[in-house]
Amino acid sequence: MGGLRTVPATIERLSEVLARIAGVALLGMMLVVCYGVVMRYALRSPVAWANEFARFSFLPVVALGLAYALRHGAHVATEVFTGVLSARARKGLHLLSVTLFVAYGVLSCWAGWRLASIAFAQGLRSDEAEIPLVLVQAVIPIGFLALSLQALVQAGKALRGDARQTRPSNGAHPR
Amino acid sequence: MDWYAFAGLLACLVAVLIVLGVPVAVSLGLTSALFLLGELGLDRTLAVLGTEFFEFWTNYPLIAVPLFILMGEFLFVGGTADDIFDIASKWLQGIRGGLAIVTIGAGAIFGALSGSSLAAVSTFGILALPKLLERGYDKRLAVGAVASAGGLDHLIPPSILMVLYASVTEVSVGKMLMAGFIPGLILAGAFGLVVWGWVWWTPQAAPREPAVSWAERLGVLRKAGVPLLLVLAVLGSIYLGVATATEAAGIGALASLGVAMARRKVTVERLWQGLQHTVQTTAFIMLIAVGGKLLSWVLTYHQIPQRLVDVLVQAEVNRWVLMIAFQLMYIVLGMFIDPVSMIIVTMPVLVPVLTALHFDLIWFGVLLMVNIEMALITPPVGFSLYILKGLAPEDVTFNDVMAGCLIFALADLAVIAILMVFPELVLWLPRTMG
Amino acid sequence: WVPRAESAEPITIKMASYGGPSYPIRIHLETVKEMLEKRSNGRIKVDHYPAESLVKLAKAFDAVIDNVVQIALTSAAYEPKRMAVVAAVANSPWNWDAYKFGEHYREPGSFYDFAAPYFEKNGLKLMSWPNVPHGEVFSSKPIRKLEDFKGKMLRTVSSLKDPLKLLGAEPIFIPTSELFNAIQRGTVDGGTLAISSIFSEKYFEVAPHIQIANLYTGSLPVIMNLKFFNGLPQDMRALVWETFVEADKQYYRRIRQDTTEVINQLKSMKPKVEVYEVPAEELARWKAALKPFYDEMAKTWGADWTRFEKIRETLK
Ligand code: NA
Ligand code: NA
Repeated sequence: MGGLRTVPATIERLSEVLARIAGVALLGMMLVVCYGVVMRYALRSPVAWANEFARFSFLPVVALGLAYALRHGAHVATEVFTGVLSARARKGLHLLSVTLFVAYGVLSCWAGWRLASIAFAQGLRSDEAEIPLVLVQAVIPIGFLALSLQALVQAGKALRGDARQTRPSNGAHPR
Repeated sequence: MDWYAFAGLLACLVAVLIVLGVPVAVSLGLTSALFLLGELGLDRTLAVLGTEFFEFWTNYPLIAVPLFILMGEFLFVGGTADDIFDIASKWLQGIRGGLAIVTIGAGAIFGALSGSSLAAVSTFGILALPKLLERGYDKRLAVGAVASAGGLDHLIPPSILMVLYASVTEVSVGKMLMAGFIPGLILAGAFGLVVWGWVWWTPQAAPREPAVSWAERLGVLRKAGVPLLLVLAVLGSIYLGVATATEAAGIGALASLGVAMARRKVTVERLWQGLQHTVQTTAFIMLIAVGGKLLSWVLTYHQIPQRLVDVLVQAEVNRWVLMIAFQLMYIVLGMFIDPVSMIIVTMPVLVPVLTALHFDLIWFGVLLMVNIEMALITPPVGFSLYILKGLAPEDVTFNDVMAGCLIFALADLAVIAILMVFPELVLWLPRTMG
Repeated sequence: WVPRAESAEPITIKMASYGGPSYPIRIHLETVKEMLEKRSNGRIKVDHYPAESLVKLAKAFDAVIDNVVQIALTSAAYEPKRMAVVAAVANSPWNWDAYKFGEHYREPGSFYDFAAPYFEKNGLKLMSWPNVPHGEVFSSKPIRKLEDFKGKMLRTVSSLKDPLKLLGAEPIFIPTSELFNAIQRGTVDGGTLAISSIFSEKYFEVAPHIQIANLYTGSLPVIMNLKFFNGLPQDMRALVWETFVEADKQYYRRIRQDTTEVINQLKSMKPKVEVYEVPAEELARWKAALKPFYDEMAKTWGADWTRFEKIRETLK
């Protein structure tokens, strides 16, 4: 049973690790944008791949941050209606939310997998740097898989009645 | 199924899920996916989803959003954000709501150099919003002021959306951009009036800044050097053509990191924190945004916006009644589809109609830009709403965000009416270009 | 999703395209839509999604392969991997005469037969290959001689990256949504586009120097899902095919006239706009500068390139 208990912990650690990678991608994006400007403006010798690299690092910033955002209570819901409900009803609705979240995550993961596997099978490459597209697109299924797993962890917490997790809306920017 | 029944069902399902407390991203995305499955089957649905995720999350102009948020993070780490508001506070003493009004003014200035409202809302959301709240501003007033400040960006030239509008309708890009200038200032003024009226109605909504001596006022200007330098780095690089508006976001982030490092306020831990916060907020915003994009895709696929336009166009009514109907239509469309789709889906159908009715396309474009300003803050698909929800402190509820934004939308409506009555406000400036 | 032959039910075809209201190929596809609906007595209904409202030009290839839409305007140049030599020649500089191409490309053994197998291999039917003539350099400062390219930052597409470098310019890739402002602010010096787009999207307002050198021919093939096409009832399949052939002829008649008119209109904007016809002698220098590019093409594509060059003789 001890092994079972570590599964959620492992998933949560995965969410954290992916977010760290996303953070590195973000830093890289910032640097490459500035590098592109310097090369073009100061050295009058623009680099073709700077733009593409910046666009491609945006993808992991988003995709690999999805699970982390969920773990830290982002992904906003409204309180138009849920505020007036009993705790029991709210718990039910919260479970519904999490279930739908998992469904969306799995479907999206599948879609990302389809995309990346086509890119792999056909050996597609990017226009400028000629990076294999599968390397870029693979973060979509990975991100959504982690998101789905994290949603399951949240569901488990909700079932155990962890009050902190059943509170609606918590999309705040941490500071 | 008839198209209006289809559209109604889709809208209802989204609304019900959101009201039930299902996260907005899932309400939008899953509903769209279900309708796609029904129409296209599994394989093609997966194809559409995969393509849209990849397209949207590698969309070049959107990278300005995380970069400006990151800039804000570093400004906080370096203490620069505090400096800026300290100066503003000391110089605005005695004016109730002054900081909110200054935010709107700063929004207009930022808008005069940046071309995207999303970038502007992100910037002001992270910099101004927490400060306004810290000073005791009413949550709704603060959020509304920030959303409005950012929303000015695509009306005041330059503007990516106006360039898009001009290319779809084939009017002069230069004239289109000029046309937005005066209406942009009028709108900024109208937002200022909303703040003023709000504070007049409920004085406790905005505090008076504490009285300070002139010595203190002048003394605080010592702090102005660094912020001024950063403003110059971002806005100056755009103005001088060193960088595009998107690239300026990257320069801003790097420059503010540099300042924070120079002030020896950056540790590895804080750097990580800044990155993680930005990642979290970006992921949150972009998951909702792509859900909105999918919804737009489904509506476009079924040609719902075109059909809506067709119904109106075929109604034989007075041209001004029709014009008002178009504005109402855009308010409804703006709730559900994203600004880019609003322009490229409806304008091809509308151009011949507007031309036949002798309406000026540039003037109409400016009305559309004000409408888009509103679309950014109307639920369920309202990009600014979610950016601000993502950037606001935890005790600001989504209802607060919506309520604050909607009150400022009154100013948008008023300005649309004014521009309809006085089209010269739009057309005078571009005409001077010859 | 493949229409059954025996049913007389209406057939809905989703068609995605690109460009503003006066973009020539968008008009071409509007014509195709009208002709199909009229000729089939309403049995075929075409839903047209213009201006990338449903599918981005760069993703049109996959959207048709996946049958998300059945017909789309696409760009072979976006598919260097899957379109191989066809992508390489499609937007290469001075590739062929746009109008001659229109007259001859469907003849047996000509360009259609050369290109079609590459589409079929990917599950696509090549329906029409409209050319947009006069892909030209436009810039904020004049470019008269080869030397004037030096250091000019020109926004372009991947397929013209190496040629522009050989001419001495610095190719830049920014989205068209930012191009107008970037030229206005001096971030870039201009770009390459079809002259009809320079005109309709008003780039001459900020980059008034247009160099007429016929640098490239914009080729944007129209493709159809092969399985869908083959699954059409026999009579409808023939009707669709013949409609495209006919619309093609109309397109090439119209495009010559329209392009001439656009050039004349731009010329009439003197002195605000300068349309500069690069003299033959100077043009020869530009072409000579690209020799390494063509040598590289020949080396990369071997026999395919030789075949193409032979076909090209009839298209120049
Ligand atoms: Na602006
Ligand atoms: Na909206």
